[in-house]
Amino acid sequence: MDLGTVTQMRDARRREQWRPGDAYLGGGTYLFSEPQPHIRRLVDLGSMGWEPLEVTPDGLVIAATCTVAQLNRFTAPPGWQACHPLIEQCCRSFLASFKIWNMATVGGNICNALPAGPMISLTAALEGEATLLALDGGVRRLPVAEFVTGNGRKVLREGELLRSVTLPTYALRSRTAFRQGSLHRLGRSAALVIGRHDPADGSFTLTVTASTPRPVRLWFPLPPAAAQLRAALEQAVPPGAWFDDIYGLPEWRRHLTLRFAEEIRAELTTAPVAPGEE
Amino acid sequence: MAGTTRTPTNLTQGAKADAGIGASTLRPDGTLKVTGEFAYSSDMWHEDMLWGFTLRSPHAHARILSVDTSDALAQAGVYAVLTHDDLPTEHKKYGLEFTDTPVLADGVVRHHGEPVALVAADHPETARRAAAKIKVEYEELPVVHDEASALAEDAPLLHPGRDDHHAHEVPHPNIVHRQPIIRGDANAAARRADVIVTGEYEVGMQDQAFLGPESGLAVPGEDGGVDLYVATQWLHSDLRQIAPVLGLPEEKVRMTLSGVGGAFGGREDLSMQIHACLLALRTGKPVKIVYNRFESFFGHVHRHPAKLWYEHGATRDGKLTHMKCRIVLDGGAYASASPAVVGNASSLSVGPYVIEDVEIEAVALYTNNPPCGAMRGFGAVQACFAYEAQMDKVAAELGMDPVEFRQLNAMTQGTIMPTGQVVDSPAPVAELLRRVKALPLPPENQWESAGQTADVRALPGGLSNTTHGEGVVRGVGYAVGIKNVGFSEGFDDYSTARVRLEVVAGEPVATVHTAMAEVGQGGVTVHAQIARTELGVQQVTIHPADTQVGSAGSTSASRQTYMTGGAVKNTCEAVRDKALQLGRRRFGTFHPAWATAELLLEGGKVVTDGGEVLADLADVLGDDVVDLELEFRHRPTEAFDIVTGQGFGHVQYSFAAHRAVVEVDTELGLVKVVELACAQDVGKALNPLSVVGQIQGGTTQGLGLAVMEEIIVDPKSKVRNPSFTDYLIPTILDTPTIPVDVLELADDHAPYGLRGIGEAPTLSSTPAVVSAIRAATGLALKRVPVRPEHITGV
Amino acid sequence: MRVTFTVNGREQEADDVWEGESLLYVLRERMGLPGSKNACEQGECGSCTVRLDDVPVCSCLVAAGQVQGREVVTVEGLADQARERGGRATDGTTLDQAKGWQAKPHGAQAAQPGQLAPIQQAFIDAGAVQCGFCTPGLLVAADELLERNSSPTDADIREALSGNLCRCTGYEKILDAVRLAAARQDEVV
Repeated sequence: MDLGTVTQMRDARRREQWRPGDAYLGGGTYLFSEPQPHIRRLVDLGSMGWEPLEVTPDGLVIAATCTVAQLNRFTAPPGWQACHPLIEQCCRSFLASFKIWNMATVGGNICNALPAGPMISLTAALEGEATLLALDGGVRRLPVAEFVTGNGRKVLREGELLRSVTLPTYALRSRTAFRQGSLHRLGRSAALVIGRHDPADGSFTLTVTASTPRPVRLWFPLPPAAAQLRAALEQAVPPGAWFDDIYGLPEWRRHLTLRFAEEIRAELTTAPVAPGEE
Repeated sequence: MAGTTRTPTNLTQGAKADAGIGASTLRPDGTLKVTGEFAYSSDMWHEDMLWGFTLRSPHAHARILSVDTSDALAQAGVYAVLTHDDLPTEHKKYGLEFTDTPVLADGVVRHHGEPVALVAADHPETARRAAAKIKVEYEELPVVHDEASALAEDAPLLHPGRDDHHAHEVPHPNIVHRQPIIRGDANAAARRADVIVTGEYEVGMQDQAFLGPESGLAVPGEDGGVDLYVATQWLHSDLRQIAPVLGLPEEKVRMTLSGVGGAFGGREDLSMQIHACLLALRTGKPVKIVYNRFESFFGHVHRHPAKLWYEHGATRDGKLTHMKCRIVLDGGAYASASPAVVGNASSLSVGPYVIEDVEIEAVALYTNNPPCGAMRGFGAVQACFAYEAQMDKVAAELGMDPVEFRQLNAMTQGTIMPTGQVVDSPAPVAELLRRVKALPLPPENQWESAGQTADVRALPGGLSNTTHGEGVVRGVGYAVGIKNVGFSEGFDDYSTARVRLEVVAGEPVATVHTAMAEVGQGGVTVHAQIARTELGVQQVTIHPADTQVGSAGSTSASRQTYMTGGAVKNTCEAVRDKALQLGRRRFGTFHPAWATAELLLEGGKVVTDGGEVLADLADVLGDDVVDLELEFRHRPTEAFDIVTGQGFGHVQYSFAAHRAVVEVDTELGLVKVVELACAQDVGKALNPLSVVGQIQGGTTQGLGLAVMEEIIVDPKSKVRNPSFTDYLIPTILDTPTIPVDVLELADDHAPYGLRGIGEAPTLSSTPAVVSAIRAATGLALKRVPVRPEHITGV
Repeated sequence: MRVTFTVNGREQEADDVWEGESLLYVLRERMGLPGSKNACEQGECGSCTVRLDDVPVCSCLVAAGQVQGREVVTVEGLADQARERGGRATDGTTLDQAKGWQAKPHGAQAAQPGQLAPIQQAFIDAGAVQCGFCTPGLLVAADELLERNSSPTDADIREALSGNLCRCTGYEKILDAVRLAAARQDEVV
């Protein structure tokens, strides 16, 4: 839709004073889908020319302007078993279709900070670290799981921009499992749960999103037993803390989450079948 | 910007010789629609036009203490700001059945989103911003939210002093209309029953969700009148309501139908028509109004949510003994079509079954909830969900197969309706059920194909890796329904068609001009087919629908092919007679058959019914033009008696049956509808391709009601989900294969024996899907739409 | 602001564009191209689908300013695009095609039967058009699908069109139309 209050479009390459009412524009798929009465100027990041995806010794660096379509096409180097099929599964969890993938960006999805943001789920589950740039050149880094603090809330300061998210190599070498439930095809997720089993140190991490207002992470030094996982989850998300909106009652989200957590636990504690064996 | 005004145009289609009735002739507007050139109401454009915007109430029930428009008027680019006080005549309300709806709120608002003020400005954003500057002071009032609060002794009265034609019949002023039906003695019959089954059911508020937003363009005329281009369902009904408010005679309000992006009942009531005309006449400039989707959810009525209580009895041999029911429809703040919906729900509440002893009551309430009115199915949808659930329940109680049980009690030609009306044309209820049952079932476990891993797209939850096939249960369900066709209860419904036959470039051509609102159903295609069949011409031009020709009635009640198709046929027959008279005068002396034989027009020629060619039609006509405009009526109906409900109330009945196959992940509560097959009797398929398309579309709307669609209204009577993000209509990933089996058993009272078809598929589709989910889960599922928490029980 | 971009093969300019206007608004209200539709303006319905540098997007979600210097194809340009596509697969327009080339007159022109893109004709022939409001968006999406995948399975078609809502047809005849266009594409090759 038209954003009637916007009076200026700026090229982000020109560093200018940040004003109240400024907003960074990535793909526009969220900004333009809702009225934005508080926004006066859009700062278009499209012209920054950041490399969408970079394989580095530290891991995978995803530029904030990387589109969902570009991320979905990423072919991981050998050994990064976490990437497939998890990346595609998360991309498909978007509330919408290919047309959104072509414009929506990873950074945009993370900065919207909605519970059902699949890029939040993906990057938080893979230990993603967000790099934030301030207008004065200062740089901050923090885990994605700490970047999002609630439904639509994140720790971004005025004029600060999300430059990239780095997924560390050790996480990319992990084994992952994914479960997601939504009311209907391509509906906004009611629950999205990702498990990560690290072959290097044997630890097990569960990341819960969509059924909670912000990502909830449970870490165990070794894979827990079913009852232990369940108890930890119930304690981490007490009654009243489950997310409630038109996409699912809190009770149903809890039901889905507990079930998904157990399925993931079971999947990741079963030895994987080697190709050729059946 | 291209300078031409974009308005509707003639649709001319020459065609192959086999493009008369019964052929799957292609749409004459198809090319324009696929090139993006078809002019919908939101595409209208005019030099100098202003944009209108409507300020709406944020409250469901409130007194308006003051309205200050000064800041809005002061904004640059604003040409007018109007409130109730600016209405030019003493006619300040409108309405389909009761004139109870204020053009702009008069001191009180009765529902969330009620129009309060209008702004005209030179840019839509300017108009929106100016509207935001209008200061309205509200005093919130207690909300009437449900039956208890509506019918309490001290309930706030939505319309105190109402003086409509039902006002003195209803037991409480917050009841819009009540229709009881008593036939036989239900209590006595109940004593014969071996089993008695009761149930309480609920149907949520569905929305028509037509894609083309409410929109149109009003152009002030030099004669003080106005030209209005709008998407609507009945031009003349709009006209009748618009003209008095503007203080203009009807001839000075010239309406033309612009392209309609779907309707499904949601455009029967006025939306922006009067508003745009008021702004245009006030500013002296053309005014365009386009609602966005958010506003659209507030800008039209919805389907009545309903609570239904039913009791059936049956003897061990499977015969139904009696039926009692009470149906409560929530009509919201204004009456709209509620009285007619009540009449429908009531008279069709038995369903297509033989039950001689019944006690029925249907009411619609006034509340502060969103106004409800016509939506495809019109009261019969709600009743069908309940009675079909009951049929499954009774069958189960008797240990009988649900389809056989229905067939044993099925209506046939000659059955008497609960209103005393005899069903005097074929009623193939048992046959329709037989046909859907006989279809082979789709293969199980579609997600496994010969050892390969699951194609997750085929599973419930689909693309999202929600389930891997374990815990998924298949269920199959059946349902059948009865819908009336046409306007009922004594309404003098008619349609008009003007047909012109002349010779152009040596070829006889016909022009058909009606006021019929083409909303996608394919009426324009059928009119051309009828003209070809009746007049033997190839080229037919369909004139844009406007008020320069007589009323065609509403595009609703599944009536248009019957009524306006019937009118076109009727006028063509008269045109043919006139043409033959011309022929007799010119050529009568050359061949005795002119005087003695039955003559037809075929292939551009006058032929005897033995096939002998007497003359070319072009020669018969020469320079003469035959141009006639005639009205067409169906047989009359009667009102339902206000105590007994008896009366010959309906024009025609229409029947459809569905079989649904679903797969349910019982652990997660997710449903995938695998197949939704339909068998329907259409009397005569004038255009088979269109008929199947309509049936598939109606079936899908029923699927939406079963598992996806509901307008959520909170306890303060406010709408919580006015967007396609939050009101989910079926996408192509939600729809199953929809095989359609078409029967053609003629109704001899109707033109070509046809039956109206548009609504019947929306009735039985919903209960068939829910029946299948019940079969898969064993759950009672008494409410639609079914949601995951109903299945998982959390 | 002024926005200049190529629409359906022709460079167009729009002046006085408000910064917050969407591409959809500019196409419909400033460029005389109302073919792309405004059923929801939120990216939910797909009725506004256009190709932006070949990629299908919801034009209601694209800021007009982001389109500067880029290429847009709308439903109004599908027929021309299909004609050009015939030569694009090789090294450009073939000699035979070039012989038949004619300068296009300025301004929109109603297509004659036979001048439609295969997907457009297929929609008409299969009865996939009822009210037609969803049709433009579906055509752009389906056209892109067939360009990318000339033998789509039903599951492929459903997934590709999952972002386009239709309220009239129940999608069955839309599936028929896409299959028909794919089959006809096969015949030609």
